[in-house]
This record gives sequence, C-alpha cells and structure tokens, in this order.
Amino acid sequence: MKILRKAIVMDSVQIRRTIMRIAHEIVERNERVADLILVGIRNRGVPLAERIADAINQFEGIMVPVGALDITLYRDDLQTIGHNPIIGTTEINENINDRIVVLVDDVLFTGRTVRAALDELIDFGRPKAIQLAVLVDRGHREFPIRADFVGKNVPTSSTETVEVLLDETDSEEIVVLSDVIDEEPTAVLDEPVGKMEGIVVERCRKTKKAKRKVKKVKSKAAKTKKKGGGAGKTTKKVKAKTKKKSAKGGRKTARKGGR
Amino acid sequence: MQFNRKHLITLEELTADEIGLILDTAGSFKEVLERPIKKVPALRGTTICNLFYEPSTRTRLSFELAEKRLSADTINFSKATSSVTKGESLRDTAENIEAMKVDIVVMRHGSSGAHKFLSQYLDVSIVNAGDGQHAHPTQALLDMLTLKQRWGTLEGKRVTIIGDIMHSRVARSNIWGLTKMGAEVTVCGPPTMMPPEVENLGVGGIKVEYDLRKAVEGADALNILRVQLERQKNRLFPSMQEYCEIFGVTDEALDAAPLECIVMHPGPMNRGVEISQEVADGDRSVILEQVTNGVAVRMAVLFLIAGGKIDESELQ
Repeated sequence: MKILRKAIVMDSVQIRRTIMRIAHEIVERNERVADLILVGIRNRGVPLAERIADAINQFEGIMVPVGALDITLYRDDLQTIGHNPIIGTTEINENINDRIVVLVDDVLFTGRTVRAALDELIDFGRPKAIQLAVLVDRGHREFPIRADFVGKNVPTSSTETVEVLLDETDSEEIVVLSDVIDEEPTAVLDEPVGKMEGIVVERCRKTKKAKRKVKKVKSKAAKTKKKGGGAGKTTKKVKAKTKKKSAKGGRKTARKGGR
Repeated sequence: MQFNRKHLITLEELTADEIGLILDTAGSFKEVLERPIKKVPALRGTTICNLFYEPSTRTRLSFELAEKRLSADTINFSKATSSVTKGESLRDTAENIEAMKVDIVVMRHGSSGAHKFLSQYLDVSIVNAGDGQHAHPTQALLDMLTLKQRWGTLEGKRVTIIGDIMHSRVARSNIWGLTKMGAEVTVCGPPTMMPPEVENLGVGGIKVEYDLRKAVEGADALNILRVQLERQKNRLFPSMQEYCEIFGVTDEALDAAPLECIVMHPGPMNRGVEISQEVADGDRSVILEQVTNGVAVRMAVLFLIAGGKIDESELQ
C-alpha cells in the first residue's frame, strides 16, 4: 500500500482567496455578524475557523468568537474501529443559544463527521441555526447533509483521498488529491471475475492437478477478498462445488475397496 | 500509542506510556464534566456491572457516574443483598453475571488476587476497584492525575506516602504508578506497618523513613493514608492517641515541608487521627480535587478498556 499524490487541488494562494470568499459569503448570508459563532471541527477545521474569523474582522471590524469541537466521543464507529482514537478537547466558551453557529471543516466526504458534530453541538444548547462551511467537498455522501459554503467541489473516486495541509497543523500549505496504490498487483485481480469462475469450475471437473490449482486460486482470491465482493463470492461457489465432487469421489473409492 | 489491554488489574503490568495515555485521556474527559450536558454517547450499548464485595462510597459512586456519563448501561451488585449470603461462590456469581451478556465488570473484593483469578475464567473485561491489600489502580491514577495537573509532569517529583503501608492497596498502586512515571517515592509509618522488603517495591525501589519530620522535608506532595481501624485487632500500635502524636499530619508537622507542598488523602478520612482538621480543610489540601478527578480517570479507563478490544484477525 502506497499513497501517491496525483494532483494539487489548491495551492497556498488559492487557499487564502477561498477562505476570504467563504468569509464574505458567510457575512452576506448572515447580516447580523454579532450573532455568529464559528466552530471548527478538530483538527484542521479549527485553524480554518480562526482564519475565517480573522478575515471577517478585516472587513467588518467584528471579531467573531471561535470554538473547537472534538467529535471523537460521538463517532458512530467507536466500537468497531478497534483502536483508541486520541480524544481532544471541545472548547466552546460562548453560549450558543439563539446564535448562528457556522461549523467549519476541511473536507466534506460521507457526512458522518458532520452528523457527529451536529449531535455534539446540540448538547451545548439550542442555536438559532447551524450552517456548514468546508474548504473541499469531495462527494460520496452517506447522509442527507450538504454544505452551505463550499470552497471547491472536487469530483473523486472512493479510493482517492483529499488531504488538506495547513501551516498551523502541518508544515505545508496545500490541498492535494492522493490515491492508494497497491504495490504488488496480483494477476487474479486483472482477470474479470466471471471468466475466472468459468475456468476454475471447468478444470475442477477434469483432473486432480486442476484441483490443486483451484486451491491456489482460492488463496489468492481470499487475499483480494477485501478489495471486491465479487472475488469472495467466487471462492464460495468453487468451495461448494469442489466439496460435492470430493464427496462423490470418496464414495466411488469406497465401493471399489468393497469389491 | 494504542491501549490494547482487556483488563485493568494492577499498574505494575502497565507501561509508562500506557499510564500516560490514561492520564491524557482523563484530562480530555475532565472537559466533558464541565459541559452543560455532562454526557457523551461513547459507550452506548455497553453494559457494565459494578460488583462490590466491600463497602465503598467514592469509588463506587464515581465509577457509576463515569459509566453514566459515557452512556453505558449499568447494573449494581452489593454483597449484603445478594445470593452471596446464601453461599454462592465468587466464580459462580461472576459467571452468572457474564451469562447475562455484560461487557465490563468493575469489582472490589477483599481478597488480593480475586481479579486475576476471575480473569482466567471469564471473557468479560475486568476493572479493579480494589482487591485486598494488593492494588487499587484507579485511585493511584487519579492521585497521579491530580499531581500531574498541578505540576505538568511527574518526572523527578518527590511524593511521600504516610501511614499503614502494609495493608494499603492505595500505597502499593501509587508506588508502582509514580515510580514508573519517574517520581521519587518515600514511605513513612510505624515499623509494624511496613511490609517486608518495602524498599524494593516499585521501579528502582523507594525510600523508607520512620521520622515524620524527615519524611516531610523536601516533599512536593504528601499522600496520607487512612488508619484502617477495622484492621486494628492485631494492635500494630499501642493507641490511637500515640499514632496521632507521632504520625498524624498537623500544621506543625507541615512546617518542615516546602511551602508549595500539597496534601492528598484517598478518603475516607479519620479527622484528628492521621490528618488534623486544619490540614484536611487547609489551603494545601487537594482532597476534593482528587474526587473530581476520580470520575474523569474512571471514564478514561472504561473508555480505553471498551475500545481496546482488537479483533485478532485484524492484527494479522
């Protein structure tokens, strides 16, 4: 497994301009700036929220309060991820009742983080409205959630990742599109699943040698099981058929022995 | 840093990194306790049984509170109102609780090693809330959290533990935890209340001092243990008054300590025996802070234990 940077989505100048534009849009939509609270989702939403607050301060002369939200304890996969995520702290020092809260995050993907953030925020009070600002929207939503302010829409495939690197949290200032590359692509992967099934089953009927081959294919298929559901299904079918075969064969030899 | 342990039975078996992780996690949970709604859904769906074979106020209440703050389902058990009075054994009791699909058992038991014994037979996670004279890990962790929040680090700090070291599980767990984190520990008490080879306890050993004034000198913190009146049948000291005069921590005894030295007590206090009224309520006392930290530490332990279960197939 190797992560390969494929394309630069935004450079530092574009990030700066995008943040400025989002700040203007937030003020345009919400005329009463004094009602606003910006809440960044840890980790990279926090510096973004601070930058938006600075930008608003530049042209409105009002410093909007900024909070930080750590959603770890509200995750829906806490029991299944199998390791202990590091818990950060949530810092919302203002009363959020009847205020307009703008949640800020770096990348909007499945929407699960935002769901957790909404749940956590509601435990702090009853805001008049909650809006969402993100630097990048990469699609693939799993929840009915959309952003109110989007820096850039980036069409992606589900295996790709969008990384936002900021001066405050990383040593770089860039947004990149990366992909996970398998370093050793197996031959099995290249063959279409349907075709593979045909070959395997046919050989199965013919010789013992072929059976051994099936085993090999099975182990290879098991390795690739994680990648595609198709490969997993193939092995199951093959397993069932080989079982039947060997059972029949067994009976035959038994009869022979009897004679 | 990952926490992969299934049980928390003693601090002796934890690494300094693991102890550090628990303390850091507890620091984050302390913030949860300041929120308007002091509850997070982290352990939703997890069932925890509090199995208390010995009486307890602080430990039991703070464990229960920690469980509720994490949205776990809790059930309580106390010896007096259960079938233990009909003679049901510990193992049978625990196996029955496990059969009811409980995920974590928090237990206090009078016998040292009861938790270790159960962990060999049960599949559930076991958290030690005190076993006999052996260990009380969450108490030591909350003591360490209190100290760490004062000082920022435990490295090189001097902590003096005063009282009945022999019978104290709090002392043993504190000695292990503090020495692992790089603090220096001195113990002080009557010679009859010192376990054999006490100086070899902990990582790298500890100091033993029989003179209270000398033990207090240069200490950054004092941890005063309760005189366990229920164990006084053996007459380890002639009278309560004599203990109070020689080992009772009073304002005069504290004169020998540095100005910034703080005073801890795991509770329940015998005011006027091991600790005087003025010291218990004085400026140096952090006793109630310890109790607050207790909830955060127990939340951290339960959270890490519940999340620490790793599917073995995932490890490969």
